Amino acid sequence: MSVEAGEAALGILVVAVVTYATRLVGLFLGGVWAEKPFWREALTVLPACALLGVVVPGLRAGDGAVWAGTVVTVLAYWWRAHLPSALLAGFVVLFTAAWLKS
Amino acid sequence: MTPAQTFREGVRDSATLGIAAASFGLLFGIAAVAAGLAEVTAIALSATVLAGSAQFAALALWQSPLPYLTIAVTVALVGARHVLMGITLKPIVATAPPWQRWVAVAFLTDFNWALTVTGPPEKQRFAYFLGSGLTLYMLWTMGTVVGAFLPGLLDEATRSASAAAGTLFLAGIATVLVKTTGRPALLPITAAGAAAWFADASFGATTAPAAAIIGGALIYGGRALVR
Repeated sequence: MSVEAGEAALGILVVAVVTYATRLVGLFLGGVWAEKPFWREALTVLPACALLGVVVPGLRAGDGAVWAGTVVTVLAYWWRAHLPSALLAGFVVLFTAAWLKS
Repeated sequence: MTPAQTFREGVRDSATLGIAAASFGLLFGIAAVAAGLAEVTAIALSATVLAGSAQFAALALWQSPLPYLTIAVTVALVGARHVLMGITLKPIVATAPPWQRWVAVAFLTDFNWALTVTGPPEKQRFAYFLGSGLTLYMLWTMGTVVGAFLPGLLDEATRSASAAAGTLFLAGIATVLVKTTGRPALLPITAAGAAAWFADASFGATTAPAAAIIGGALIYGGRALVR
């Protein structure tokens, strides 16, 4: 059953408000970050943990091209420490593998 | 360096990575129209939300009657990492007036957050954050506009490869953070990966981000207590 315009507008509002709230809550909680070394270190590590929560389902659902691209990105960054170059290498591998597969 | 120069630097750096943002936005436009959303709804979602994973999660639930509460909980779970990223923004935006902070935080994404925290000196980061945020916002929204109105633009293989582009980017950011933090990060990161894998396999992809945060935090906090 298709979603009507008014219902869709309310749906967009819900998604936008909740997403904005997740960003804003962090800003309000941010006072401790600058003052305590433990939190500074923890709050650098924990976003990486959170990002993995998005990466892992992508890898699990992905095929060999996704794995190959991801591995190349990680290794290239570890080697050169330059994110744009590492990503470019990863994208080349990903799209080449996808093209070969098709 | 003046704020204007730092702003331009943010624009330049994010333009390189904007390829991934635009292709992901394009894919969202295609997927949204294929799922039955009107073009204007797809574009409005990208223009007001600016969060690919949250938008794709909402798309999976987009059927009449819309389950507003389920959508809200799902989007909050998927966006839980923004809370952590928002915390790290505090010293970066502290120099700006309150209204500018409230506007700027709307442009917080994985992309420009990673660029900003690894980019210029702390005092110059606000202008840089705005420059990269606005650039990525425009590329993301423009990608969705193109995808919504030209849904047949990509073949199936390129479409699936574009969908994976975000995974590469996030893996790159995670690597940046592990390398920046060094040894303290390795054990929590491993625990987070394992927790995400288990949650994804057992309860679905939307639970994986929250599981990863909890898994990583437990190991990190537990080890700090032992020390």
